Amino acid sequence: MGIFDVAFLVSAVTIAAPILLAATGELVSERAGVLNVGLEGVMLTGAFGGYLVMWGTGSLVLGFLGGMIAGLLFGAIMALLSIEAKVDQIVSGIALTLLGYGLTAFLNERFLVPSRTFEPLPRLAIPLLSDIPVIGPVLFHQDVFIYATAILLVLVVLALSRTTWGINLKAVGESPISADAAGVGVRGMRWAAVLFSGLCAGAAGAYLSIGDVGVFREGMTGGRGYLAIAAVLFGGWRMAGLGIAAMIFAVADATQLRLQAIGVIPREVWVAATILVVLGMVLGRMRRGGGARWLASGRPTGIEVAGLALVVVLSALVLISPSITLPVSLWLGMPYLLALVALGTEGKRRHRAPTALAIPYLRSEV
Amino acid sequence: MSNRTDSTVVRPPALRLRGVTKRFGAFTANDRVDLDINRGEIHALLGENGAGKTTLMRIVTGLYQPDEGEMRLDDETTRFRKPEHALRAGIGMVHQHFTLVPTLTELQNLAMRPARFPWRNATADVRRRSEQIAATTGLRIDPDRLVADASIGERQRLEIVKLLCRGARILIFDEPSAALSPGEWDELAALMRKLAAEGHAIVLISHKLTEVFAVADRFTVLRAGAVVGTGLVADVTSDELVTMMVGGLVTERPARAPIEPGPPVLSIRGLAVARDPLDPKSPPALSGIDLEVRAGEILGIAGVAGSGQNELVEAVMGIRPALSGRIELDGEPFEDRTPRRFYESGGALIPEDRHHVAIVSGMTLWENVTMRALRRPPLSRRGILNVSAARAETRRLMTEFDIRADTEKTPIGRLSGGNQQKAVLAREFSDHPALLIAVQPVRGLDVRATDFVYRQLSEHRARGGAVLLISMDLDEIIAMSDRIAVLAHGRITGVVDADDATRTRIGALMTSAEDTPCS
Repeated sequence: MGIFDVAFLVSAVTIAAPILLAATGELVSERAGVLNVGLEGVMLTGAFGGYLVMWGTGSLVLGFLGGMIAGLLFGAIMALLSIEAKVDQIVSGIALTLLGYGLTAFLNERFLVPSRTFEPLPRLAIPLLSDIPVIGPVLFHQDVFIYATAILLVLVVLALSRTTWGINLKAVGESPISADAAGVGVRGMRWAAVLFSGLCAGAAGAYLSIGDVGVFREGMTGGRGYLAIAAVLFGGWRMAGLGIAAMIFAVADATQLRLQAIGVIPREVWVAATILVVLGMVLGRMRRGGGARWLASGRPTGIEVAGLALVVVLSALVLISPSITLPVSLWLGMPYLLALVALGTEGKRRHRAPTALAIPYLRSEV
Repeated sequence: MSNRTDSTVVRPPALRLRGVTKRFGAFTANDRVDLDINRGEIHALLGENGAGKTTLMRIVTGLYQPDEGEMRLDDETTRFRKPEHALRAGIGMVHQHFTLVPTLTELQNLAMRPARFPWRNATADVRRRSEQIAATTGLRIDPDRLVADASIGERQRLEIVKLLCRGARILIFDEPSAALSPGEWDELAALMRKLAAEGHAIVLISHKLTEVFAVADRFTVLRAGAVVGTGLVADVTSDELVTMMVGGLVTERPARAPIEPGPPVLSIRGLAVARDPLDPKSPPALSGIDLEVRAGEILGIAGVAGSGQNELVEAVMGIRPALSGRIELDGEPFEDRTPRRFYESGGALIPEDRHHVAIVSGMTLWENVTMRALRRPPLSRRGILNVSAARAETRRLMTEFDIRADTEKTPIGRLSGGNQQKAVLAREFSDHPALLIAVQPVRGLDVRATDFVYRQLSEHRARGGAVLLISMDLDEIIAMSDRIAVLAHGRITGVVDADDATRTRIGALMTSAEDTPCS
């Protein structure tokens, strides 16, 4: 039995969508110079807000609206702290996360008893397109949220690259002084960007609770907000990179879900891991060396030596295919471990970060 | 320039300030300033640092609101609450530190603006507009190049195009020549004349009187926030202007007494440095550098910004690895370079970036001044600091170097730029270094502080010390140096004796790309 089948890909897309949506909001916010570390808290609040409204009204549409409004409110708190009060963004982000955890857990236990479970979002098949083998069921037989996320991604890509608004946004995050001198309101742009990130994270959170699972559980985002922040970093503050990063995290998550169920690690997992490590090393080399001379150029770096050793170990595992079972909690950690590795390579990407990221803007220093 | 008198008579001034006053707490930055800027003229705004020029221009461009007074634009009272309002009204400023986004293209920088329909793409319109400007003024930009790849002169041109694109009719230039080569300055001066002839009003803020006399029609001098003089440039002498600016307190720059130079203190042979310190294969930032600085000598390094000056300093200091080359410091081979060993071997440095490299602005004056001495006796013994001795030492240096601060416990960031630089000098000279590397040591300083720094450099030379003076200001290099080495594109294109140095000769070497062997 294979674990990398069509159902696996479907679940990967379902996992990727909320991370992608939250990460898109975070990218816009970071492009404007505000690092919203509180994304996890915003997402969780969105998840709770959606569940709260749905618990009261039973309407999915209102539920999602509730999630978005909750996210917007938390976004507003972040904006107030970071833009107006000029609080350190890491500190205010952590505060926001803790507030999200505490507030939702408290309200959930205190007011929303007994808990209710709802039907997840229905899947809609797009005529013709959903009949394509593999791609059809994976991409064109999904729920409304995933379609909406896809449309929003396209819109954001267009807005960033093809509008005055996109230019102003990047300018505000790169050099707020320059934007200010050109008459672009730094505060206004940053507020809009942070509120947008709140909206996105809120909707993504609502999808987790009422869209996918159908119920709210304490701390149910389980670090997906952080994964979204990591995806922005890993993606080099570009939408394309963001997509790749979110997909990698989602595949890792889907894999671990499968493996939890199977127990013993099948051989194909080792094969896949080997291929991924080799691919990652080749890509890393190409990015560094540039052009066709990449194979010949330079001595291997420490990371490459480690990667090579990893490849040897993994190949051995492919051949032996030992019957290893790992505790579930270890599997749960896999996407985060991957995020950690991704962030470890972040040093080279640092120069792509918006220059004014996480720096409050004070006009008197013009 | 004949339209100068006509325009003042026929038309009201483009910009008229009457009694503009701005206070920050108890401090009056602008005190009842009257100023008339006419169309078609270049108006020089002069004054020492802290005289209120910047504050005044920030009021004019809408960054600050005046506490009192009136601003009339084309004879209509105006008040700008935001910079955007000033831009709309046609007032634009070319800041000393450019307000461009380096990661965007030149065209995108022009398109960066508040728009009525921000979801539209305005770049096509802006491209057309920039082509019109190129046709009328000759200011050509490279629309699809990243600003990060443009030279300083090209960036300045883009700033001007940006303002013209926005319809600016009053253009304010804040020390525009600071980073330009002499050739680029000549181009800018011609452009300013041309814009003025087309009916723009130009305000030139400058420290350099040669520039004022070269282009300006009228001048206004500010001192302590108030106007102390205004008139036609043709009617004043340079001495009169300086007297107005500093209030009759100028001392002559010390004459360069001839000194027989001693043995070499710093000798560099065949130094090559890669542009990217992590990648030895990247194109060289410096190649084949041979230099010698002797005791009792000031060697000036002339060159356009970005010719390899930073790399040279960092390589000598040991911050940046060298690909090849040998360095000797104070007669000893100086290999395995680190900044610490540089200081221990008799080196000292006045860095270019005072705020970030030379001082730690949040720490106190005494901590900054004794920063390096704190590592060894008598200020520390077995890792224990003698704070009272360090503070006493600082108080002594405060009198010796005329550092004006309330106490030695004042955070250095609160001192004026001149006093900060004096504190840096105090720290660097207190080690009695053999070699002092000074990078743009008077940048942003007023006349008095500049004079103090020059005097210290000359005294160091007279004591038999060596100075490596790096500056983009050619006048400074020519006035201070015994010999001048010209750095262009990472190579020494020539070494000239100060007595034979002229602006044209050095300017030619600065822009020459060919490799002339150095003497």
